[in-house]
Amino acid sequence: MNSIASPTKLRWTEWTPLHLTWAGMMLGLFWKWKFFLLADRIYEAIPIHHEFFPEWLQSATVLRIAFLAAAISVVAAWITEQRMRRCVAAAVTWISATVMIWHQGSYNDMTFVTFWWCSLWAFWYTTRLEIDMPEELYRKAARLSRVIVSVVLLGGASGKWTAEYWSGDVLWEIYFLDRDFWVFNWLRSSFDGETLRNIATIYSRKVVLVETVAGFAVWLLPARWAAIIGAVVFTSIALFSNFMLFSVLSPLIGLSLAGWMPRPQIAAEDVPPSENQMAASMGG
Amino acid sequence: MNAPAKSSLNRAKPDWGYRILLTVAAIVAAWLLLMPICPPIVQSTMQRFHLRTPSFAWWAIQSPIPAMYNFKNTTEVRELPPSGELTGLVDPLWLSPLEEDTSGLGVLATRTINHYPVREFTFANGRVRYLQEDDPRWLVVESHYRGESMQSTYELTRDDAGVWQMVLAEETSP
Repeated sequence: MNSIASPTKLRWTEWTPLHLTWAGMMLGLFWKWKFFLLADRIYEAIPIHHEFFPEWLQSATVLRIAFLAAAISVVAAWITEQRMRRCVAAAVTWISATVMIWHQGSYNDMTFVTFWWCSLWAFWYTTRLEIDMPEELYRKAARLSRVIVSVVLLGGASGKWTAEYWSGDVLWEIYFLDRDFWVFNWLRSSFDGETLRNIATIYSRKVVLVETVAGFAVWLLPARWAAIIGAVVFTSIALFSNFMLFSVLSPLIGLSLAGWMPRPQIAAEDVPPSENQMAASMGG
Repeated sequence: MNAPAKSSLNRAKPDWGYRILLTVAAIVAAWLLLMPICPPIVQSTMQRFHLRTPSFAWWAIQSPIPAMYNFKNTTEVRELPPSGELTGLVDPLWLSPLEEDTSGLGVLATRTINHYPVREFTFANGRVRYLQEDDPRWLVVESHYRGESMQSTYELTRDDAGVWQMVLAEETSP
């Protein structure tokens, strides 16, 4: 029996929700890496002074530091084994995200808004690691994940509860007229003008309804259903609208999956002695 | 083994972070749900989109509120000021007598944009597209939502140091 190799199984631990969220955040941060590199050069070459923003939030250097600090602090928090350092690194991530949602060069990019929410969740999670019991931590983390996902979806939905979206006008002009993306290229080559306009209306209503229903429902769903539905909805939005949206949605896909609740583990004393011995002999 | 220790530590440290995060999310959700029936929230969000919030602090507080593809937002980039300010800038002889509508005069580009329409100039790609030359530029942005609307005009001029000075040229909120 001892010679039988036991296949390595992926185990859900207290670290898994945090790692999933951090992985999503890093993917979101670097999805448009080439564009951000170019943007950094542009902000140096073509500065704009606008009194609305404080001087330091118009500086290309500040934005560069905030971006790098966000990325480095996620890595630092991931690899450090000291609780206090991990909390500080996670706090630095959130502070960096706050700078980016305020900065003149990045305030409009929703990448940093979803990153901000996920970094806030991750910071909270680090403060409870090694303090809460795993089941308690999973329960709270999953609830917060569902609530944040719902709020983000509602943010998209409520701004579309208007005639211009229900008629399809807005998405017709943004996507259907000339957006170079596989869905819209295919639709333009397959349908005539009037049919295409009707498809734009159906597409737009589908977007409004999916965001609305998911926004109202996700926080009420059981944890596993919410995790799967959240990840599927966010992935489908990017696949059928714009691959660049993965920069906005990857953190949310990670956070959705972080809300997955593992099945309660069977306590050792509940396992029959024969199975206990077998597990011990297999190193399991 | 360490469960009792964790449990006692847990009791000793109430999870204020959890409560605060839930409260923040609830406040944001309430704000979003009230937006369709509460014009002040719409106006506040439009001011946020147009970078016209009276105080930067209030704008900054609103910035984490998710607003993907909110409102119908349009932008118009101009190399001449909007028609109201045209008087004296364009020689009438330039205008074609057959051209009844001069609204397109001086317009470089128009488009519908998903959110934060002022990014047409502030974001990187807009700067490359429209701010490569020294000539002044104007940006007219509009947002519409359930009968509420806001229009803003920004003027950009390049100073001697090569920095573009961005100024709100007109404040119109019908």
